[in-house]
Amino acid sequence: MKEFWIKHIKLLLVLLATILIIISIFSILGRFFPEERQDLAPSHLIQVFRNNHGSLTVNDVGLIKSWMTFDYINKLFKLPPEYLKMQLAIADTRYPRISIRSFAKNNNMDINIFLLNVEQEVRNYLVNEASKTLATTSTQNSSSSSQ
Amino acid sequence: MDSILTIALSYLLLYKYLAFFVLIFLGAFILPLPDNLILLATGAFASQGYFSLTAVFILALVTTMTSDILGYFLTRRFEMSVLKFLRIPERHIKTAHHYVEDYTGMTIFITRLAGPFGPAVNFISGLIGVQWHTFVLYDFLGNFVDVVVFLVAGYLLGNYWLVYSDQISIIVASIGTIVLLVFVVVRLWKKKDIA
Repeated sequence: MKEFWIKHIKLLLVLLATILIIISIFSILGRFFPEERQDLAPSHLIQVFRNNHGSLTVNDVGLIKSWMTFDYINKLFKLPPEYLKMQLAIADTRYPRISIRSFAKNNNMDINIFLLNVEQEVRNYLVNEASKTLATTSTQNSSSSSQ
Repeated sequence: MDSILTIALSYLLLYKYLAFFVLIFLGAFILPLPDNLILLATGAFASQGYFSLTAVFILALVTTMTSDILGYFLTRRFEMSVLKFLRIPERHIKTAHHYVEDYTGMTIFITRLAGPFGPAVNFISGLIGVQWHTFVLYDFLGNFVDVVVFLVAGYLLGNYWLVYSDQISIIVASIGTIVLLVFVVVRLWKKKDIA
């Protein structure tokens, strides 16, 4: 067993050193990024991470793909569970645990057209929600200013 | 996107951990499934609360290692008959054979990360009698790096993983090609020296 470790220790050290060097380069360079390359700086990457995990908006509707299940789309865009079922008149008992592709195929629909319909319904919901939020905020603002 | 990947992603969303286990196991054992993209997607799903990142990490590591070790032990026990039965392309076996013999640890490590030679290397390792602890050590290291890199990348990319998936596939394929080229050059250099 000792021979085994002696034989392989060099290779393991090289692998470990490579990983450490890559991590070190990134963390050291991150502190000295020129202003025009701040997109590579760790602070910017943290911002990118936050953006990647924020709530999805109307502009993100294009992220919907035919392999996604209705359940996943509901969670991704924070839709009420029965919203798409109602809007798209889905009678399939497997809803929401069925993918867009499977549903369209089972119902002899064109997958791309059905996908566009789903996107449109999600877009409508998000626009309605955004306008509701805006209306509530402006009402609150006007009531506080009158007081 | 690849139709295999789209089917895999649908199953992943429907059957979650069971689908993840089956896909990763088959991809590591014999089928040419896009395992790295499945890991990337699962990392993203974990960031959306659809999977537990810890559970997925442990499951991925255990599954890939079990699958690799199974391949290794099959050829160690049943030798060439396994390769004939599984109909692994002869060119994959020949390519992998040279590298496993000459650069055992590095070949096992690199083929966990990129390229289609992973399953072939497992079988060859068993066939030519690579020591089991050497195989397990490099298999663990390679799978650990692979699983961490792709799961974490997916987790960080979050909702937008699909936007970057093509670029990541290209990067991984490039790394695999570069490493393979380096191996070929070193091998040719050594042959020249011996001659």
